[in-house]
Amino acid sequence: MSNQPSRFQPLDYALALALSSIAFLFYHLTLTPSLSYLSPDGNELATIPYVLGLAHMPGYPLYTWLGKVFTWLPFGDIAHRINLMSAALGALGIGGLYLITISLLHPRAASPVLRRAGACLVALLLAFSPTYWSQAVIAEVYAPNIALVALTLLALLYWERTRRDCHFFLFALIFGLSLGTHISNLGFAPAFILFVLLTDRSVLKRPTWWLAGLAGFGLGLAQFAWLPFKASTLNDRMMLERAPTTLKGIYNYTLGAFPQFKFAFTLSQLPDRVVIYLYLLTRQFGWLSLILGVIGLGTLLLRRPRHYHLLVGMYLVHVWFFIQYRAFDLDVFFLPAHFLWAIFLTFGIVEMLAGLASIVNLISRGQAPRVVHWLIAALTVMVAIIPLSRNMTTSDHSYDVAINDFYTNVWEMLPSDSALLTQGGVFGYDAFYWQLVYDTRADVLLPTLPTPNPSPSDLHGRELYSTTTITGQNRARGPGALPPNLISGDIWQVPVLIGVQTGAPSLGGRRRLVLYHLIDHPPDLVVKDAKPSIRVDIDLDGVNLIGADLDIRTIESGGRINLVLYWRIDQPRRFQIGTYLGDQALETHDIGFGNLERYQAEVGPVQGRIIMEDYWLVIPSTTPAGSHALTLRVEGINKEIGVGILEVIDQEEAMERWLRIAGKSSSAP
Amino acid sequence: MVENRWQIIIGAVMLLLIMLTGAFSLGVYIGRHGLSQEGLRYQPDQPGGMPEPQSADRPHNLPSGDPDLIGLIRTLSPQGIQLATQEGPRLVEVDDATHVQDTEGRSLKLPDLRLGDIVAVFGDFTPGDGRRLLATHVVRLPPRQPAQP
Repeated sequence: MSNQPSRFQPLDYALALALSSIAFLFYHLTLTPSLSYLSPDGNELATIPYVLGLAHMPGYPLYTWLGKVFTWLPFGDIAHRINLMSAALGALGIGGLYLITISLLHPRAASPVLRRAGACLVALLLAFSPTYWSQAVIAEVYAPNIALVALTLLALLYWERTRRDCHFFLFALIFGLSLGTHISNLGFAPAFILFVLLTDRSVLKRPTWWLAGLAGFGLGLAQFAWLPFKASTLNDRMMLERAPTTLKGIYNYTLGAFPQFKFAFTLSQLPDRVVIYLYLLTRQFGWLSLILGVIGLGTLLLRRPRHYHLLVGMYLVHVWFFIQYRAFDLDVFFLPAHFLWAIFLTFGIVEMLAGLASIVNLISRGQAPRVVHWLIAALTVMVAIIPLSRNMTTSDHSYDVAINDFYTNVWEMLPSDSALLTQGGVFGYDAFYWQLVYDTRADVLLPTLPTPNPSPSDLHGRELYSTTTITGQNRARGPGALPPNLISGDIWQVPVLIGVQTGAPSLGGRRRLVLYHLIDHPPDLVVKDAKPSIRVDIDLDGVNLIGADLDIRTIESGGRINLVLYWRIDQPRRFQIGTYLGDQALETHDIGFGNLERYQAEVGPVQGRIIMEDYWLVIPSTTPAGSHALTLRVEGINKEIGVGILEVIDQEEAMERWLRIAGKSSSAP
Repeated sequence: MVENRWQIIIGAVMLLLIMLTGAFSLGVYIGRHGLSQEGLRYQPDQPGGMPEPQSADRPHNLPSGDPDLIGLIRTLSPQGIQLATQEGPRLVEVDDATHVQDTEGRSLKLPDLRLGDIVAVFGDFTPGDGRRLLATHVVRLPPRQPAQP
């Protein structure tokens, strides 16, 4: 029985709660306020739970249902509440990690205070590691999945202690359910089976044990009945090709999803992939974690061989699978492996602390060792400040308001009964979110919302706008692209509203927030005369800024200003203009917004003529109240051109404004 | 105890194999790439991010904003380009509509690219667990200048 996991003391529950609370506090402080492009699927995953729809492959039923529960929170908008789910379940995973490690650390490994200090430290190291943190502040499946992995392990360890069939049922149920946050958890099954065999082979002879296991796992697995039930709600081209409407379809949508990415590397490429994994691991915990983790593996093996086989079995299958996975952003897929490595790391750190304590015991007398132990424990936990301070700034996405600011202005600007063309499928949810959740501007048609292949007749009689480039060389392609025959290739795309580029560079972070008006005639790029209210008349190496018109001087943050610029181009070449509010870059664009070349080809030369740019700019809701200089900068020329001073006021909270424009009060839905 | 002994022996062999695999992989990596991190540098403060190109070098006829990837060409095939980027190796898919050019705006063909060229890639991400980048534009950048002392 000495190989049994330790029972939790009340103090351990308190510490687990404290660790979860600390993690949650920091996740909440750095939480993305609402929609974001930090994950390519994030806006879909923020919407699907509310509408109880079907997410992209492999469906994530449990994630969807848990998300629905979080949408009942009485504050923030729906996307904010789903982001909070990641924070809460990510924090739960941290508390779970502490409980798992403290139950596995052998009482003889070190004194209780040092064991707890080591376990607390590693829980915090994981909490503040860059990849884990990045997933705990956005709508994504990875942080909730870690909570499920932790609960699965805790349930298994609990069964190990009690050996009661009802507790095995609980484990099997949680394990089955965890496939609904990430189906790769299925790879843990061989390790679980091995662990059960090593723990108590006699259970195999008990029909009730079999019944408990199969019923629990089957019940958990039954969540995937959600897939055919909700298959009719799919609107993504790639997902529709593998719609889960038959047994084969369900297989294709789940275990058979993304076959081209699995085992995608040859044997000779695997060493590089292993090194990539090691590199990603050291990014989380530092290079020392490799050595301490290996030491931890050794002590885990000697002190708890059965648990070693459980955890190493889980770890190896996971790493083996994902080093051969051709994902673009591989780091997030290794989170369960990082979680498991954190357990090994705890063993290594506690062993190191025990060694340190032995030295102290040898050289100290009386009460001194006890005091020094406490001191070592305190210092150990304080090491967590290092990753916290190092990763706080880069993990902070609380300023990421670009999508919400942009779309609230879009909804205010669009004329009645117009149509807004957006990318289809998973990538379209930055726009779909508003109509699906808040029924915002129901008069505006989003043709790609019900289907990725709308027909031209759907658009008949409507004024057309788009948030995606649909003509020319720069047109959006891929599964979210609009059907090529939807609108004429001769159409002109004229930018009318420009949102702020999303904050940190990220996967999909390049996406520009631009509302285009689609017209079938050339835009009024060239004017005969310019009488700007703000006269500038400055020559910038081949281009002359004649002046500007600015409609208002006082603006609520999150609102928009109308800017009209008058240019005279003396030497035709590419000029890129940046608009700045104080030090903050609002947007950059080519003079003429990409239409200049075509204009010259189809309408006439622009050299020596006056070019007019008339557009609206979103002022981010994170802009502090006060006076801000609005300036222009021409790329390659080190010169700032003042356009005017904007008085930004902040009378309405950003979330309040978003909800007001979305059409609902903050207490609903 | 006998049962435990076997568990420990098998576990020790596994641990040894884990360490050997790691050491072997590191050795192969160093043999291929030297001690540089060129093949797999990964910036913690820019998940999936990329350095901004020098504005003065910005080529013509490109989508607005930053490229999705900048990297060194490792392998080339009609279907895709394997790049060594700051985020590690990345596979970029290409199709008939992918436009290849240099920084002067001159059109190139895919076979004009060579192993070791540095390219900036603009493209569309596909959704889902298997994130792919289908290139719309591939821009061959000038070779890196040696660092000044």
